[in-house]
Amino acid sequence: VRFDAWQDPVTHRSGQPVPDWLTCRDTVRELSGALSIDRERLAVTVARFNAGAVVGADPDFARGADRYDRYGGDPANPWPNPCLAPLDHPPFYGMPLQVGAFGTSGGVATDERTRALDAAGEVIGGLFAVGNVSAHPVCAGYPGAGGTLGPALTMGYLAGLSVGPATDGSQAPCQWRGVSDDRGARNKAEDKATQDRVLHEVRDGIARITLNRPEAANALAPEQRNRLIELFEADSQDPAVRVVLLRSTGKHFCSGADLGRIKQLRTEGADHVGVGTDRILTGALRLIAAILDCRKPVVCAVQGVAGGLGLHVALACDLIVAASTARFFEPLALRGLVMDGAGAYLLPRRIGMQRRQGAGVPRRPAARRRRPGLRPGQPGGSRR
Amino acid sequence: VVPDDELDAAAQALAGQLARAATSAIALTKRLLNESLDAGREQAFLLEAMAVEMQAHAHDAAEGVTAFAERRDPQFNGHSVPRSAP
Repeated sequence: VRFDAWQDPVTHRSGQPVPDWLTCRDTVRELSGALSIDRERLAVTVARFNAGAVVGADPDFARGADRYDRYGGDPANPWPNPCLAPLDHPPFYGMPLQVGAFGTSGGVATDERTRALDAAGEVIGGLFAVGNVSAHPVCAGYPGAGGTLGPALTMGYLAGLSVGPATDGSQAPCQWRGVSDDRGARNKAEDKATQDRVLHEVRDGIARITLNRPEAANALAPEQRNRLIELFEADSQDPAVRVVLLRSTGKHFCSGADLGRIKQLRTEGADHVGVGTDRILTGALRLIAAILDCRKPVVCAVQGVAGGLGLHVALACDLIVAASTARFFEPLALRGLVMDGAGAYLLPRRIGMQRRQGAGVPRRPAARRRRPGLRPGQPGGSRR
Repeated sequence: VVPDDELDAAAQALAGQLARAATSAIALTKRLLNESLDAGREQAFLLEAMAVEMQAHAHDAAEGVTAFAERRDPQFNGHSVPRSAP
């Protein structure tokens, strides 16, 4: 075997020139001198080794004690253990050995993004494990030469994607190409948090979907948006559900999409043409479609602000019950953004064009905008 | 509706607000709204997604989101993209 990147061969056969990394002498005594090893101790060690080798035993290191070890031995060796033969005729070789981890039989459990998991299966923030130190799919075996390199390279690459670009110091999500949303990759901890933020209960024929992130005016992050999509799709098919009631906890119904995430989308969209378009199509618009396509009537209870995506979600529902505090608010022009989340699709259909265009004018206060059409008189009245 | 003698002032005020607004965002939204009733859902959604990405490149989109995060009034310039953009 020769690795051409190296100047010297890394194997040696008797009779060939002796490479630099190998010391070769005609006697064990000379070898001990050349390697600065205590002469008496080396002689004793070699004698002990030879006594064991002739009966196939290695009292010091147990070489050849298992089948894996013997598999790597010399099948033509005449002595009982293919890994052992007495060192009794020249030349005698010596070389320094270093200990290294060549393979492991297990390691730190990770998710598919190489994020380390604790005993409960939850992500340990900021800790990643790749290759030999991780519990990757073939960690408990050694499929062949180079078998440790593939997992190390692949998982290192995935870890890099998971860390993502450091932009504003916040935890950057993975940028997984070809995965339209991150539902499949979510871990248990995130699932639990998402479930706490979008509650779901089916009782007496009514599916109650409750936005429960009042500390953020129920702003919708992608995880909650995806859970809403799942719930509307499930309720649509569940025979136990005869009507869906969408509501929220706290002072406000929903202030819209999570602004921090909007900023992130802008950044990512600026890097790759087309990414922004795909994100919108697979994100907010899929939520609106899931509500429109739900085969059960959807009732929406609005208190406080329904802004941006929150407004459009309410408009996608079939009936709205509004509290006297309800304010319907279209903030996107104030933020320099195009009206998204199917606003342009829904508003002309639900409340008419000129009223809608007035609502698009970036002016404050927002309360003046609720007047025509958007809020249908008293609570309990029909929206149309 | 405003009192008769306030008509011009009110119209001027409204126009003034629009003159300081994120013009390209409003222009794209206006186009989406005007296409809306002529387009099916799938078409409307695609148009919207593309318009959102277009506006994402604008100076005003960054300024609007940043100003909101910093709780100040945005300074829109209308149509331009940042100088650093390719």
